[in-house]
Amino acid sequence: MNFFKLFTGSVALFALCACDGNEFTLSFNTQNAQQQTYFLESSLNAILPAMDSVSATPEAMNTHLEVRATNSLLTAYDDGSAKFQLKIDSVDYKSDKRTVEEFSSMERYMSTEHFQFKMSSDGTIRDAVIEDSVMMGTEALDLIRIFLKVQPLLPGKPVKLGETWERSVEIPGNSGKTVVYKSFTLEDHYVHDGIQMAKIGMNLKYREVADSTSDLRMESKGFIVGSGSILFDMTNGVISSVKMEVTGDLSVNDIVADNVIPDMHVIQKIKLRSEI
Amino acid sequence: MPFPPIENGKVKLVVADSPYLLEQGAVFSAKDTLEIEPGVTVLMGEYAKLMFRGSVKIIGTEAAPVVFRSADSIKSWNGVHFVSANRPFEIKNLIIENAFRNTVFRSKGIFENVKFVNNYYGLWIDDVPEVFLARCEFVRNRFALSIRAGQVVSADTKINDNVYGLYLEPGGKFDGDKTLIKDNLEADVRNEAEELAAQGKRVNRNIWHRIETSF
Repeated sequence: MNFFKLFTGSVALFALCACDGNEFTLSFNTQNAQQQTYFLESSLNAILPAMDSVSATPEAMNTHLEVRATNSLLTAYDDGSAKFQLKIDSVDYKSDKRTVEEFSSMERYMSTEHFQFKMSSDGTIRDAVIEDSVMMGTEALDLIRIFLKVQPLLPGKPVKLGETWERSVEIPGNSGKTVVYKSFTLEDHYVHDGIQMAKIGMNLKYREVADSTSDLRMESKGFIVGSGSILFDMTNGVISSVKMEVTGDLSVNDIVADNVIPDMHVIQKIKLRSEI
Repeated sequence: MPFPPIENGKVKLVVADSPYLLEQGAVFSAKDTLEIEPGVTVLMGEYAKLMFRGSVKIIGTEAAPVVFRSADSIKSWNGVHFVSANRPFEIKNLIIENAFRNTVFRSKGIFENVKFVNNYYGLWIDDVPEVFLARCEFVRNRFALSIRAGQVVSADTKINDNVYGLYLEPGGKFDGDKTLIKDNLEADVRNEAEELAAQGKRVNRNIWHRIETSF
């Protein structure tokens, strides 16, 4: 049994590091991944320009979220996928549109919202849910959505430096599932402290579609776009770090308040770093 | 006595085993039922919440109300949340103390002789067709009654000695005797739409929060 584990582990490690000439195989370790600590940081700025230069000043919101979480492999499946658990260890949250008491309430209850998900070796994530979430409506910061935005999707075949691949992913949100189109480019490959690293460029775009069942409908004007880069640890088959900036213009219709905000500009900066 | 787990879709709380201690969340699905005898007290830990996704009745008596309050009086607990969609709730003779927020979200029902004491948000109404308050009391809350979207019909309900009495967001309507909203520290009634207009602002709190949580 021990020999079998050693053999399969060695095969997995070999597959993760495999490169043939100028081609590189990128793959998440879904068989014997070590526990990782994630440090996630997300800041969101929303700006409504002044209507005119005389009567009004710009309105803005600034929020900042820092999450430390532990990602553990629970079960490896025969099809090469695995079930993981992301356990939230600590949360630090601030917003200039909420009170200090709301910060601590948000932190306290987000810190209990652990979730499980299934991930294939190419990074495709399925069934990511928080069971019995305590938060609701506009009180729920969607951690899953933030993680899925920065999650890389690997090509599933060997790629050369400079090669680009495209994938789409459905991300759950308040208005159903958002289809996010992601484009990746293998920009660099190097060895750092004996670890093979891949630098991957990532661009994304999606449309925010209004939720017709909600009394507050938000939709994007054109595409929301994002760009950033990923450092992928090829040796261990894990994300090392991700930086991403997402920007877009939103139209918001508050039906009950009879209030239409046509041109809200939003910038979201997300950083994710992991340690084994 | 620890708050019992939901077994076969049922939880029954009896006076003989009171007080109960709830440390985490208890979520009742649309198929689950909670039966509470009058006079039962549930002490809530820091992470405790009660969420009802289905029809719910909590019926205390005037002499023996049901009580939900924090186990440690200097720490708040999460609160009670009614998210029952089309299934109405009926709450009579209940005292809710020291919660962060008690919520009615996309649900309808009645609170009769319910006392909201020393909560951060005594009762938060969001996206509801109609909620009735009959002979209720709001005392020593930070925000006693907040109506984001929906209508609250109030009869003989007193909102006194809070920091803010009634907080009306642009989609909120209060149909009741506002003279019973008095002696609150900062304001008896705050109207967000009027405050925004006075400041020359267009974006209300709910819009900011929705952008933050949905982007």
